[in-house]
Amino acid sequence: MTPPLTLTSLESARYAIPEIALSLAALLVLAWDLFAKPRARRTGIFVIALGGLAVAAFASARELTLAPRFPLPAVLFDGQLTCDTYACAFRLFFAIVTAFVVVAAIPARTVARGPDRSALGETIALLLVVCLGMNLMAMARTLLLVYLAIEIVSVLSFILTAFRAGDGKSHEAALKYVVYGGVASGVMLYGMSWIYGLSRSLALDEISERVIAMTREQGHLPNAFVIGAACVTAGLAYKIAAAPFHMWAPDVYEGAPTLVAAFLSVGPKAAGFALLVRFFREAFGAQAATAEPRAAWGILAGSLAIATMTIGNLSALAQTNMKRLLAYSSIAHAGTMLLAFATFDDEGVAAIAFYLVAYCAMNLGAFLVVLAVGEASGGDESLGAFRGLGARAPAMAAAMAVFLISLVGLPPFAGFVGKLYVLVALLRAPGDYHQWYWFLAVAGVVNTAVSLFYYARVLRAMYLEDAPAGASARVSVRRLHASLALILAVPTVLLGVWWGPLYDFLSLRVAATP
Amino acid sequence: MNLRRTHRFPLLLCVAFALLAFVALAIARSPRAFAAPLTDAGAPAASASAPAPPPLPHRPIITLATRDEGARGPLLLTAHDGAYVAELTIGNDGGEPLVISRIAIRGDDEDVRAPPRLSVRFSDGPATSATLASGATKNVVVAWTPERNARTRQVFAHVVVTSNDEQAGEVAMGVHAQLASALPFFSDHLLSWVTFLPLLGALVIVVLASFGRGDDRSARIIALVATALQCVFALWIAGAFHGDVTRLDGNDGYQLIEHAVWVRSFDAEYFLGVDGVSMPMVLLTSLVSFIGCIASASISTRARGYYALYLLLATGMMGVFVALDLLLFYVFWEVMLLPMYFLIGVWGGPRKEYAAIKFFLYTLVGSVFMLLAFVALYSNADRTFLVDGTTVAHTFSIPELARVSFAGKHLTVFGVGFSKAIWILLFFGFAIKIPVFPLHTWLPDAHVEAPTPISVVLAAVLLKMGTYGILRINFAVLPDATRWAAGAIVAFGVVNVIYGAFCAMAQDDLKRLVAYSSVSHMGFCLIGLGSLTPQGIAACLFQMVSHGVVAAMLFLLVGVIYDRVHTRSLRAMGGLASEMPLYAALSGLAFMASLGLPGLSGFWGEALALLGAFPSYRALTTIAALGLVLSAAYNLGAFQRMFLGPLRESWRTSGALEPFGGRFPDVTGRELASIAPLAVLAVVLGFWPVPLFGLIAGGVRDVSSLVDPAGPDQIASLFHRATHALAMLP
Repeated sequence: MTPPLTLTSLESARYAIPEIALSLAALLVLAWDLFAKPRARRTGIFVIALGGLAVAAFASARELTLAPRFPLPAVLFDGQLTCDTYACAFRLFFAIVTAFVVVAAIPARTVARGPDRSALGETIALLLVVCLGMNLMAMARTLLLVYLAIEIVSVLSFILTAFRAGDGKSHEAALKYVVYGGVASGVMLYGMSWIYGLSRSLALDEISERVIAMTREQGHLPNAFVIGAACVTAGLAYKIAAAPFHMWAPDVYEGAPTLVAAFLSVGPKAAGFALLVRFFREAFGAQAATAEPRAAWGILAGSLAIATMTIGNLSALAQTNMKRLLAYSSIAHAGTMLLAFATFDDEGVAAIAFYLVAYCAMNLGAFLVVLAVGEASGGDESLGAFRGLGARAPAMAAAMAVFLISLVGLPPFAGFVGKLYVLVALLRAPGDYHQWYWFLAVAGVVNTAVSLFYYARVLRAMYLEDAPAGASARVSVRRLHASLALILAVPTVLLGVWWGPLYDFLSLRVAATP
Repeated sequence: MNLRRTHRFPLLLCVAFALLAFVALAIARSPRAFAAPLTDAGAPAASASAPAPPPLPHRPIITLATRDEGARGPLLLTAHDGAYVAELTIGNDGGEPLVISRIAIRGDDEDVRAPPRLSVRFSDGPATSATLASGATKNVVVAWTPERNARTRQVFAHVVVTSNDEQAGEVAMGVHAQLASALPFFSDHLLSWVTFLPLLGALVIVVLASFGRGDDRSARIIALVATALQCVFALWIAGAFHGDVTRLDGNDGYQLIEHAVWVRSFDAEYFLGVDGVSMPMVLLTSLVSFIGCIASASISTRARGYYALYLLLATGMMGVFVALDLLLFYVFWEVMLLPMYFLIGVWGGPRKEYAAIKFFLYTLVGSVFMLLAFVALYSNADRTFLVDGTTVAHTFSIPELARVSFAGKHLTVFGVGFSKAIWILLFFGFAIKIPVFPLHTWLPDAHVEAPTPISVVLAAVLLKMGTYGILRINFAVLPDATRWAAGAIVAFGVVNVIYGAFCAMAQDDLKRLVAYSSVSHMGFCLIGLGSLTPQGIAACLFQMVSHGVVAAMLFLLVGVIYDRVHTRSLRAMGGLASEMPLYAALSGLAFMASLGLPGLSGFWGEALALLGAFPSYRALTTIAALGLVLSAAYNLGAFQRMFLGPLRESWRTSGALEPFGGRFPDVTGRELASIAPLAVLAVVLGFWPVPLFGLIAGGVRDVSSLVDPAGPDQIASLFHRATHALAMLP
């Protein structure tokens, strides 16, 4: 294995094409929004944004083929960023997710002169920059960049949340988000200072070396390190909405524009996992180190996972607002992914990656249906808006049923395969802690059964209950949202019956990073 | 559901997306994209500029290749005047000579895997060892000369090659042969057809509906045709099936196998097959699906959705009984849940929502633990080969798992031995389905609220999945733990028998009564299972079929009276015999069959179960025999309260009979069409059980020899005695 090349800033540029394209596209969108003629404004914004995302996606995909244009892995900008297949796969993933959200943000013709229009350019530009931030999260290899990337994503998410002009809930949500985010950042910075003080380095690989050396010297993990790592984990747990740092999620999802909530539940969460996995792999050498620290981290991450799943699922049981329900469900799913994370081996990482793809398809799909139905029924996002949907909008209801059943984790849908890989990773985890992993697996399957209850409430509203009195016989959803939801239903089903190629790809390109 | 106008755009987009996905997958599967080994990803310099081929490694590297498909098997044997022959090539890609020490068909006399008369040799001589220089190849001939009228009509086996390539170890190539038949498109894939025909029907209904074509009537016709064809295929399967084939005949005792790789990276296979354990279930499932479809005529609201879900349910049920890969089994098992939830929840009675979610939650809790057990079995399986010869570290295949000695691995789960812990998890999942006291509370609710045809399917097929699962997975894969737990199974069975019978006696709602009688009768299945004797296992299978027939009939009969007067309360009935003589006769037959009257089907299962269990569990069996008396009590009691005595005159004045002109109309032709086949079956199985016992003989022998090595002799004497006794009948 050749050591990764370290490149100067100028040499690095060719590796950073996705990031450059995204930055340019964001700036161009803003400029176009200011200067273009009103007639061409909207079209131009979407052409530029989607063009930038397409370049980003293509450039990342190019690196993922067997014969990449530039040798991988490489260390960019004198040691700040890593470009490897792991990062490239996540960059591709982020570009696709963002593109989906951007397409879904295309406003209907009828509201072209509504108040929302003025903020369209800014929304799109911000989405592009968040995507840039997520890319940086997947690539960061120093503590400085870790912090910067997280803050880019967080701060812009605050702004996106507050975008429902004049809506008190939206503003309240944004404020909560800011407060929680500020605390989490502070704790994380504090943890980083411990780590830096101990290892005298910001680079993750150097930290890893010191930690391993010190562990060998002292016979156990340095205590200062455990404190630092716990604090950093807290900051990242906030990003993926893991208990007990999840409190912001339901309020933010409820208050934010639905599309932004959809994006937040998928994109930044995936980026958080990308960073979490890399951080523990590189900084703590959790993988390479001896069994003892790994077990300690396994117990920490496993407890976090159990708490997250259980709190998410139990809180979701009582929800009547669809966005809050999906918020708690997304917390529970973060917990399931943390289960796989707790194994700290390649299989666990592959399971997380697969779960993220499946989760992205089904969760984004579910949010899109909520968005479409909410718009069609005058902004009503409660469970009541879904009553009788099976008869009032059969295609939407069928798509929603697919997403919900997949979210439960029943075959033959993608969510089932995701859970299956998590279970396999747990029961095959190496080391002497079989019983702990068995316990985690049992907790996971019990939570699956619990989650059925609230997803089934939506199914029941859609198919078992009649439409509320006075509701229109048909819900006419926007064609764009309907088609996007149906498109997302395709991978949700397809990955449930035949997922071999995707898993092979992920285990080879994502999980096998040294 | 007119989607034609509003949703053409999304449909087009979906098609475009599917095409894109297909292209992407095709690219992904091309060797250039992913076939390279793991190390290439980390060594870009080598892959970017590699003009000269790397030097051969200093070790022998064995490769196996078929002539047509390269390295991927299985090797298909083709017919050459009576023999089935094909060649495969062994090559050496390494830099050192390859010494082949052994080529053979996998398996031996102790562990029969391949059918007899399958042989392998080098093409140039009888030697069994050879040395290959670097780059050289050598051909191997595999031949199968089946006997005339061979019972085994297909071969799934492996050629194993042992060499000095130590990294590869023992490598294998899958071998497959199929005797020629008239309609290979159907007859080589009978099990796929019988499983997926209903799904095909469901798709037709959905596609027609989404284009605004088709109505409720056409949906019913499609469903009837699909389930009728399923019956035809099931009969075809029964015709092609040999009841006396056992594991010693090769292919692990399974017949009509379809075996292919499903998800390679997960070692999951598309593996279908039937043996004596599943064959009666296949017949029962298809018959009940068809009869349930006939009985669905009263469904009038949203009938298209109903039939689409019903057909999906039929596919799920059939799939469970033919799947031999744990993952496939689980998928079918769960696929069945959702349609059931909707069928009860949308078309059910007053408390349908409660009953539907209760059923769903109970079954899901059971099945997630089952999944955990499956994953644990998979993760601790031994190295084996997929059907095409790929070496895998783990497997989901039931016959392969049956060879793994889990007890010998000395693993523990929370302090309990691995095989015992897994056994308990599996039993928990299956017990909910059976249902075993105290996990049975979903059953009365689901039965009472479900529409008649769904009650029929639930009682006749779904409950059997529990006992089938125990036989197929607990018994086959974990025989040690099964012996350990046998007493508990019998005890659970006895509790079920007595508890179910007492509950049934106390019921006023006829459907609830039949539901609790199901709990009681399934107890006999458990007693038979727990005895571990061939009689007991045969009794369990017989009772599964018999209860399927009788319970289906009882629920149909309840549906008949409910359709007329919209009550199932026994208190409200009485004296119906004079009003509905044919109905009374059919009900009498069903109640008699249910109480186990000799000469009707219920007798054999219960009597043999008690006989089989008596030698080992005298006290328990004696208590269970009490259940027969109780069973007579509630069945006859129900008959008496429904049909005997004077008719309540209040019926005449009540509005319930107005549509029928003030009289109870007797069974109609359509109702008779659904009930009569079951009635005939109940009588035929009662008087002439030999064909069914013949069908299950081989399967029973296999299962019982796993858990009770003394098996074969006993069952031989049983059949000897049974045929003796039956010869005395007219």
